Amino acid sequence: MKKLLLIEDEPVLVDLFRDKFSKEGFDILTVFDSESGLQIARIEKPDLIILDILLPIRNGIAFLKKLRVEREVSKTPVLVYSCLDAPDIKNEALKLGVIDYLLKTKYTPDQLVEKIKAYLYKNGEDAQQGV
Amino acid sequence: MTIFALTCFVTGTLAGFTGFFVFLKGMKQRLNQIWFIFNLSIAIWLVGLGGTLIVNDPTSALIWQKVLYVGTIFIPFLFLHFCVVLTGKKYDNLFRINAFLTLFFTIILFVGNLFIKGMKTETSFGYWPVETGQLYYPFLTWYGLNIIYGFILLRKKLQEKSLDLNKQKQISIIYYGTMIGFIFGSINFLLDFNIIFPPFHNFFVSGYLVFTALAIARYNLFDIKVILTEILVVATAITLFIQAFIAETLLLKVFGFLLFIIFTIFGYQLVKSVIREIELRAKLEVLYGELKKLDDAKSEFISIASHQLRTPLTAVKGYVSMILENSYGEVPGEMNQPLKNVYASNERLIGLVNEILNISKIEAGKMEMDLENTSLEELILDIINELRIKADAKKLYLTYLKPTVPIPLISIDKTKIRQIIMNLIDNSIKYTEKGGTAVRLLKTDSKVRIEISDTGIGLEKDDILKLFESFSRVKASSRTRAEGTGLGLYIARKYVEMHKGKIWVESPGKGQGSTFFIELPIK
Repeated sequence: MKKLLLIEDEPVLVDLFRDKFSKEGFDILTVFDSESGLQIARIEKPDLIILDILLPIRNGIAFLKKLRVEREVSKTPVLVYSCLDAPDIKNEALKLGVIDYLLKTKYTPDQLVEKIKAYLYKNGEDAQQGV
Repeated sequence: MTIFALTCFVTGTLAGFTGFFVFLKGMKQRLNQIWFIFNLSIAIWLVGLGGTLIVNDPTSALIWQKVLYVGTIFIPFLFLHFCVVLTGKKYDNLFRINAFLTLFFTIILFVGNLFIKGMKTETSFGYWPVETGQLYYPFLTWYGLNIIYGFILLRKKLQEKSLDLNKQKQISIIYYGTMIGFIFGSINFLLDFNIIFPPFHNFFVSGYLVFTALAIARYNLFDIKVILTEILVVATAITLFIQAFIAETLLLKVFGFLLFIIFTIFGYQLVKSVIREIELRAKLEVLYGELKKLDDAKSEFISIASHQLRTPLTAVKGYVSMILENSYGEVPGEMNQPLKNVYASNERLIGLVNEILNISKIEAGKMEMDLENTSLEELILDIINELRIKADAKKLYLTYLKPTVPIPLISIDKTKIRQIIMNLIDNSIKYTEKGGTAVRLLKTDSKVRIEISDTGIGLEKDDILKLFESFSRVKASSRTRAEGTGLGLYIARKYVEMHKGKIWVESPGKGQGSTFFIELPIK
C-alpha cells in the first residue's frame, strides 16, 4: 500500500482528502503544519507528499528547502496543491524539484488521485496492484 | 596668477557663498549649520591652495600651507557629522573622539613640527609642497576612515526601502557630488609626496558644488529655492530702479519707473507662486504617499481575500464531485441535477475569484508577460477543436476561414491570448441559438487580425461602448443567461493592451449577430 503524507492546515480539506485517499486504497497520513510534516516524513518515509503552500509558522517553500537538505528524506517526491496562484512561488517550488504545482480550485479529488497514480505508477506497474 | 590659482579662488568663494545661502535660509537647522561650516572648510582649503600657488618664497608659502591645512583638518569631521545628521544616525562617542582629534591636529599644525616639518622647493607650476611630519600619516588615515564611513552611512541610507523618493534623490546627489569632490580633491595630497603634477583635477572639485546646487534647485534640499528667487527678483528690481533713476530724458524715466513698478508687482507674485508651488508639492507628496499605501493595502486585501476564498470553494468542489461519483453511496436520481447545479455554481464562483485576482494583478502592474513566438493559426485551430463539441451540441456551425497570405509567427503571451480567443468563441456559441460562428485570421500591414463573427443575439449601440469596462455585462445577454461575470472582456482588453494591440466589437443591432476583432502587432 502506497503511503501518502498530506500537509494541509484546513480541517475540512483534510477530512475530504482523508476520505478520498483511503477509499482509493492509499495509506494516508495528515498533518496541519510543515514542522510536524518534516518529523512524520522522517519517521514514516512516505512515497509522496502532498503539500499546501500557505501554512502556519513555516510555509510550504520553507518546508521544501528543509526537506531537500535532509539526507534521508531529500528524495521524497512532493506534489504542491495550493490555493496560492503566484508565478514566482510556483517557479521556486518547481526549482525545488516538486512534481507539479496544482491550483486547488482547478482539480477535483478524483483528478488529483489520477495525477498521483500516474506519477507513482508511471513505470508501467498496474495501478491497482501497487495499491 | 595661474589658471590653477584662479580656479582655486573662484571655487573657494563659490563654496563659501553656497554655504552661506544655505545657512541664511535655516540658521537654526542643524543640517544647514553643518553644511555651512563644511563649505567654509572647503573654501579655506581652496584659498590656502590658491595662496601657495601665487607666492614666491617658502616663508609665505608655509603660511598659506597652514591656512590650507586648517581647512583640510576640519573637512573629515564636518563631512562625517553632516552624513550622520542627514541619515539620522547617532554617534556620541565617535563625535567626541573626532572633535578631540580635530582640535589636536589643529594645535600640532601650529605648534612643533609633528605635522609639517618644513617646505620643499617650489614646483614648476608654482606650488610649494610641504615636508611632512611624523603625525601626518596618522592624520591621513583618520581623514580617510572618516570619509569612507560617511559614504557608507549615505549608501546604507540610500538602500533603505522606506526612504521616500525625494529624500532618496537628495541623498544620492549629495553622495555622488561629494564623492567626485573628494576623489579629485584628495589627489592634492600626492603633491606632498613628491608626486608632482599641476592640480588641473581641482576643476572637478567644483563638481560637488554643481551637484549641491542641483540638489537645492530640483529637490529643495535646504529649502533655498525661495531665497534664490527672492535674490534674483530683488537684484533685477534694483537694476531697473537704478536704470530709471539715471535715465536722461523724462520719458525714459517715466518708462523706466513704470517698468520697475510692473516688474516689482510681477516679481512679488513670482516669489509667492514659488512658495505656493513648494508648499503644494510637499502636500501632494504626502497625499501621494498615503494614496499609494491605501492602494497597496487594497491590492493586498483582494489578494489575501481571494486566496482565502479558494479554500471553501475547493471543499465544495471536492465534496460535490465525490457525492456525484457516488463516493458516499448511491445518489438518488432526482438529486443528480440539483447537485450538478451546485457544482456549476461553485465553478462560476471559482472563475469569478480568478478574474478578480487577475484584475487586481493587472491594476497593480504585477501581471507578468510570458512572450513566445506563436503560430496564431495553430492556436485558433486548437481552440476550435476544443469547442466544437459545444457548437455541435447546439447544432451550430463553427468554421475557420483560412488567411489568403501566410501569417508569420508573432511574439505573444500564448496563455493569455488563448484565454481571450477561447472566451470570445465560447461566448459566441453561448449567445447564439441559430446559425453559428466563423473565425477568420488575416494580415493587415504590420498587424494580424482575428475576427470572430456570430449570428447571435447581437449588441445595441450603448452596450458596445460599455462592453469592455469592468463589471458591465450587457443587458441583452444578462436577460438570456447570467453566467458571465462581466469581467472577462475587461481582462481581455487589458491583456490585448499589454500586447500593444486593440480589441473591439461591431454589431448591426440587437438580434443581428456581432463580430469581435483582435488586432495584434507583428514585431
